[in-house]
Amino acid sequence: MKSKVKVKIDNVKLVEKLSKLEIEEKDYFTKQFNETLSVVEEINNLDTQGLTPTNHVTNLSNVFREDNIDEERLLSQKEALSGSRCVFNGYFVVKAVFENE
Amino acid sequence: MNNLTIKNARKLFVDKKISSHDLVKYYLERIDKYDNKLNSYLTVNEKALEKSRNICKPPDKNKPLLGIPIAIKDIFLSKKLRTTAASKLLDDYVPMYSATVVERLENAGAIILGKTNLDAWCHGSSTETSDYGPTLNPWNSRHLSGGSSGGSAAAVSADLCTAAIGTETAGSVRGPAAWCGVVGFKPTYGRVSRYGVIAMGSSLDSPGPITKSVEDASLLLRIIAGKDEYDATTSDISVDNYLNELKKKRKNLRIAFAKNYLLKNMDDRAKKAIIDTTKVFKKIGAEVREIITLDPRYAIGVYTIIQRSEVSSNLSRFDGIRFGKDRNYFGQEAKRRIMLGTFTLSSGYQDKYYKKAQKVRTLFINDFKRIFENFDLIITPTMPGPAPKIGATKNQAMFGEMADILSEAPSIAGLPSISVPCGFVDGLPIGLSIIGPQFSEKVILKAAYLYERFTDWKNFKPNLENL
Repeated sequence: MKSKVKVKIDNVKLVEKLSKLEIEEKDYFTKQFNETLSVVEEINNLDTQGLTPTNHVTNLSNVFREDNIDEERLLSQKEALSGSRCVFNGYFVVKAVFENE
Repeated sequence: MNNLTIKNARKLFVDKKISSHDLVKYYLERIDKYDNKLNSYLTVNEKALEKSRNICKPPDKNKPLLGIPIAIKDIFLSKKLRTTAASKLLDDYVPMYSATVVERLENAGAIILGKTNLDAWCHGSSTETSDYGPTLNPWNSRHLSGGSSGGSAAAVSADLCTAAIGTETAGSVRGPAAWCGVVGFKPTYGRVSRYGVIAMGSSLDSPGPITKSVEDASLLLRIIAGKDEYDATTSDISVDNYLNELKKKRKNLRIAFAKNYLLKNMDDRAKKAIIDTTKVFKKIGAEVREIITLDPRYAIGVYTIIQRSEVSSNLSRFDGIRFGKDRNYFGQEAKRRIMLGTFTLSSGYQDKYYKKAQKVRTLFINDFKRIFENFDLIITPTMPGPAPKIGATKNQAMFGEMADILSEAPSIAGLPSISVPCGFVDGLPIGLSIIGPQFSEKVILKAAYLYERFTDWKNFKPNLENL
């Protein structure tokens, strides 16, 4: 647990892909990544044996509400689509997910 | 009309000395004159003037804020009013509904004067990560206003609104309030609804008032606090009438002075100012004793891991399809945080980072519980010193998390806390934080009110002609 993690540029490339981001200056980014990790890893010096991880800070659990629809709060289709840059016939337009064979 | 608090503005409205329209005009003129330089507003509400013109009665019990112009951090959705999170990704985003906080303020009669600058997505403690440039400090324009709610704090300090609303994940209300010389209140997690607040760290985010007085913070908090069925994490514990509570007599306070929050590298004058506050509390009848807490340095790691993990998850919704532009529009800081958070949640590292952080979080919660067995409140400096110069964040991979070291432990424990002005270093304001157990808002406000009344820091105002 206490071993220091050293992130390499390949790790950064993987995380970049997972996050759907594009990073320029990957070397600089990797350096900063390691700097941050070395600071946060200080918590490994604390003994947390037997402690439960915090799940909810004010100890709420299983909060439910009635499964009712409040008609006044419904957005119209037009409103719901109003933030999109590309709509067609009342739908959001997305890039094709599957490639043609 | 100079430097009106909500309390004083309400009185002038009731006495018919001024109208809401006069006050809105006054702020718009000042914004026009000073905000080109200060950069505290990202959007001024064009409808504010018209709205104020239609107000023909004074505030009352049902509409306690009728006609009061309030500035809102641009992280709260506001129906039909541009909301950017200070990111170019949302440059032209116009929400179709309002955050619960905005709705409650408007229901109470408030006029939304405009949307204030912040660190993009709240990622920072300087407003330097804003895609629209930093907000300058009204006390000295070469210095930072703090962040992330820097625009709100600067607008209150520079008298460009009556009061403002910010949000805090760790330090983002109290920090800029301290650096701008105003009052900032971070409520207990779950006391104020996060519905319609563009999410940063969902287990930490807490909206709160930034005001010119403790009374105003008390008034605003009561309006925005309480259960919201659209935010399942809000508490159903009843909301006090905080303003009335200020006037009530209460038994003498037992205050813990967290000695290890006076960091070694802190400015000596800032240290002295904080030590002096203990003398004030003793004079007003409190019992003050020194304590040692769990080292706040460990909170940096806990906070950074939890916050960045939650950021990576929350910002995954920005796909450029339903609203906003594509992910290339994220700035450097957002990318850094998303990627670190993705890493700390990724397979193989989750236990080492995220789970460990949540365990140390429990350690901090237990440590505060231990202290509050014998004390009502804890006092600490809000920030390690006054506002640094513009540009201080350059090449700093975690400026925000380092600057907010003193706010992080209470925040990860969900605790409420207020920052009140407590002195100056080199002409720049500094703040005192008063921290209490969860849902002890009224005790914190009472202590802050007593401190504020006993000292005269509130009478000092920045001179904008020097900007």
